Amino acid sequence: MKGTYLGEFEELVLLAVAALSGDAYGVTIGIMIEEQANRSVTISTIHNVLYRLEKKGFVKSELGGATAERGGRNKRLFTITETGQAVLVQSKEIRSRMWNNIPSFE
Amino acid sequence: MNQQYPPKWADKFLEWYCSQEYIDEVQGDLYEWFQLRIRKQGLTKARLFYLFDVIRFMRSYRLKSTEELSQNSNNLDMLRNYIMISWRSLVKEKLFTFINLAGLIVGITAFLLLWTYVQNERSYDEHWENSENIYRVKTERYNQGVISTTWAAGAGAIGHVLDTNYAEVERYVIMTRSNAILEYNEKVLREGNTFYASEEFFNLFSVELLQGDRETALKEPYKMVLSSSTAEKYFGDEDPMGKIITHNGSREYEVTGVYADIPEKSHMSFDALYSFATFQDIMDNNISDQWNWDGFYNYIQLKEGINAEDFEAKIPDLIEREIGEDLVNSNQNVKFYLQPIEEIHLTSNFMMEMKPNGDLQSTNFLFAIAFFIIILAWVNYINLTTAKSMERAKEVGIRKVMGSQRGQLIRQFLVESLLLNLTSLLVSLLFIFILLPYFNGLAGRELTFDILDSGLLLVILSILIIGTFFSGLYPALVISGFKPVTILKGKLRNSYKGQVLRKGLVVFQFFTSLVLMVGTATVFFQLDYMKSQDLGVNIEQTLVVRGPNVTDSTYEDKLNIFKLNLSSQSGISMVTSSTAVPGSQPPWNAGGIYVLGDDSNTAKQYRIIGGDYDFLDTYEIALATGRKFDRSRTNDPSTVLLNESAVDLMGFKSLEESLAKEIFFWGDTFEIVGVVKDFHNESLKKSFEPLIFRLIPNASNFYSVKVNSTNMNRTIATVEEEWKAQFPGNPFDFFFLDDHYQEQYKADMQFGQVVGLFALLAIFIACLGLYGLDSFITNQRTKEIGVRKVLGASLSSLMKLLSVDFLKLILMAMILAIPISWFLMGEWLSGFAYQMELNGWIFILPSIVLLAIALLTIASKIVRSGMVNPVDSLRQ
Repeated sequence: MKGTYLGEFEELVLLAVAALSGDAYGVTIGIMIEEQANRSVTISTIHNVLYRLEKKGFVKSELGGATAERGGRNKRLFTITETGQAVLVQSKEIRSRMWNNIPSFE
Repeated sequence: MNQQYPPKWADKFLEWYCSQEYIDEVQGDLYEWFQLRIRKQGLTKARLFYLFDVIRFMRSYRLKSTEELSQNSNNLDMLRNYIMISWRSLVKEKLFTFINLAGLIVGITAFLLLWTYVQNERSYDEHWENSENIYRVKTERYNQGVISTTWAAGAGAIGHVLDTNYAEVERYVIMTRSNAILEYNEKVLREGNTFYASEEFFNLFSVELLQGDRETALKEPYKMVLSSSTAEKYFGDEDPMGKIITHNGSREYEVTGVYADIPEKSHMSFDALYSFATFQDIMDNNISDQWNWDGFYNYIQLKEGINAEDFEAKIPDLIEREIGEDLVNSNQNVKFYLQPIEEIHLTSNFMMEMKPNGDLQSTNFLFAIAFFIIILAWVNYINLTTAKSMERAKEVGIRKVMGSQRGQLIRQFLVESLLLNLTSLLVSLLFIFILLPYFNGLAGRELTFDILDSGLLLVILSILIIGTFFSGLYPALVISGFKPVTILKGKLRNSYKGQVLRKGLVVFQFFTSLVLMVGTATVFFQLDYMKSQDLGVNIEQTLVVRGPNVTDSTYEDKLNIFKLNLSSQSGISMVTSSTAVPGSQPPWNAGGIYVLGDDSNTAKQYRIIGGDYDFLDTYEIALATGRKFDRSRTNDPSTVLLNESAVDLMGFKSLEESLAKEIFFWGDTFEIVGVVKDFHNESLKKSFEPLIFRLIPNASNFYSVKVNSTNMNRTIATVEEEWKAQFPGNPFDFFFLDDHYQEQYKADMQFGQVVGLFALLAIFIACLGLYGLDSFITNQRTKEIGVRKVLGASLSSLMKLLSVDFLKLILMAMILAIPISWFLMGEWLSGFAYQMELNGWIFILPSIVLLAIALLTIASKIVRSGMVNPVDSLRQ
């Protein structure tokens, strides 16, 4: 399954892209992960992961949405592709299947 | 909310490396992230993390591609624009550009020439391998605790004894001069520059041996090696190896080697070397026991890593062990010091130097002058450019209105400065190549200007960079700081501060010029003073022939015939033979001389001059008391005359007291029969030395011929004819005594000429600067002049009005320059035993000249602006 493997952090980023639908770029993804996963991230890591995901075909991107706060710079807005969605679904299914095998937690 | 910003330079860095493709998202996200961080962690941390993020973003795919770099045209375009605008403004103001260039070119040329000169002086003897471990042993002799002589060529024993007693000494060489006439086939030439040298010579000095063996060439007695030019002189195309050369008509040497001529940049110079074993053989003497025989150059090479000072400190103990008792008994002392070979040229000026050395003080003076001159040139640029700034003000105003930033304007003016500095530098380099031979002639050196030398290259680059910024930055800051509204309203007035600075710069320029002028004046006045003093000895109209070396048992008769025949000639009044002539150190120096009846430990050192009966008369040396040598007294060969200084040194209370006393001297006793007045046997740099005159009728070193004819050429021919008749086999070698005497002042003469030249250049630059400031101020006062003229002011009253400010500046420069040059010149003069009075003229004369030049410069500008029709100036 080379090329489609999804790392742990990659999965979080991909989930954030999906959740932010339409407003997903470095900063918002970063904020989301910091808040939801309660871990600190560096912006450059997120960028690097996003490019990797794009290369694997899980996300696509376009430029737009410059604001004054950004010094007039464009954002690179990411949206999830169908493959990306499939990967997420697959990952979730694997997890729930395995969860089902767990008898119970004490 | 107040927007807060990330560190600017980190941002610049990001923009610099990051490709256009990524910059938007990266920088945008970083900005947003930065704002978030401020809220969470505060500004300081946010700024710090911003920098980390910028660095983390540096991934290879985000870097600019080379294509992108070359396409990033904004900077290149701006640069092109800066150059174009600079070019236009330089071409537009041709006179201004020319003056500016002239100042810079003169300054840079002067600086580089002096720099090369000073570096050359400082790099003597650096070419030897191990030069940092080679030392010459200097000998200092003391009598009754007072230093009597310092010898460059000292005791015969010291080198050998150091070598055998201390493991620190790698090897040693002993050398001594030989005055030689060399003969091979028909070639008979006088060689004054030949030495006996011991066998380790070629191991200690890395002289390149072209033929022969380093180890053995100087081992055996009666072997010699020649420099390649000497070999060429005697042998031409022949192979010199194994050939026999005759020395002073008697001894025969076999040539065992040829070495490459040694570089000019050394304190040594020798045209041929004989094995030292020969000298020992001739003298029938082991020189390595000779503690009281001076005249030997001892060089030692210390082992790698030995500290010379520590080693030097051990020598006194050794001397104590070797000859301590003798020294105590005779109340003498001798001390030995190590002179690092690289320092000899600039720090050593003692008895029997191999050749005249340089002077540290003069060299340092010239080095300082170099820096003053180039700073003058830069100061000039600042002055002229800020003076012109009023005319650039409108341009700056318009540019600012059009959105030009201050940084861009500064860059614009720096580029202009760079262009001017670069052009001047290139022209200067060209000038230096053209002028170097003339400068060499003036300074008496053989300088080379090797632009590929890394040290020099660094200096040249530094001149360019420092020059561009030093001279460009201030004007750039001033001009770019103008407020556009003020400029365009035409209300610009220069700040008080700016004026003070500019005036300060002019004062500095004139101060430097004046100090240099006073310096030049002092040097030449001092030379003139020395030449105009009564020497106490007549050196005019005297032809000196160097005596014959090749002689036989009939020498004395031939000398008498020679003297007799010549003195009967019509153009010749007197002929005398002597061991020394005025103008150089007497070759004989004797220690151990004391008055009979005194304790032998009162013995001291004296210089000895031997001459025939006519010596004192020929040289018109005046008698103070007693009598001269007398032909009618048979006892006279065992008498001596003293000079006043010698009488003093011997401890007599009056001149008369010395008469009829006997002195012990060279194992014999001599009666003092007369005292001559002190005369300047050597240059006036030295004080009188104690001299003892002995009667040596057949002295063969010099024959002095007093000429009373105006036809010098015919006289020379007569003397030469007679010479050839009496002394065949000896080259006829003569000089004029007054030239020989003046030769002593050559180095000071050269120093004066060099300082004088650079004083001129400094004045030139200073006047350019004055002209610049003058233009600036008169331009500012154009309207005022117009109004005054309308109200009836005359040209002369305007002139007075406008020049009075400058006169104040020049006056201030004078007030500063006089005490400083007084001090500096006092320092310089302290090197002379006989100094002229530092009188007022030395300062007044240069001041007047400078004032006149400055007034002319000012007047040329003021007259022009004063003549302008006031209608024109007021209408502006």
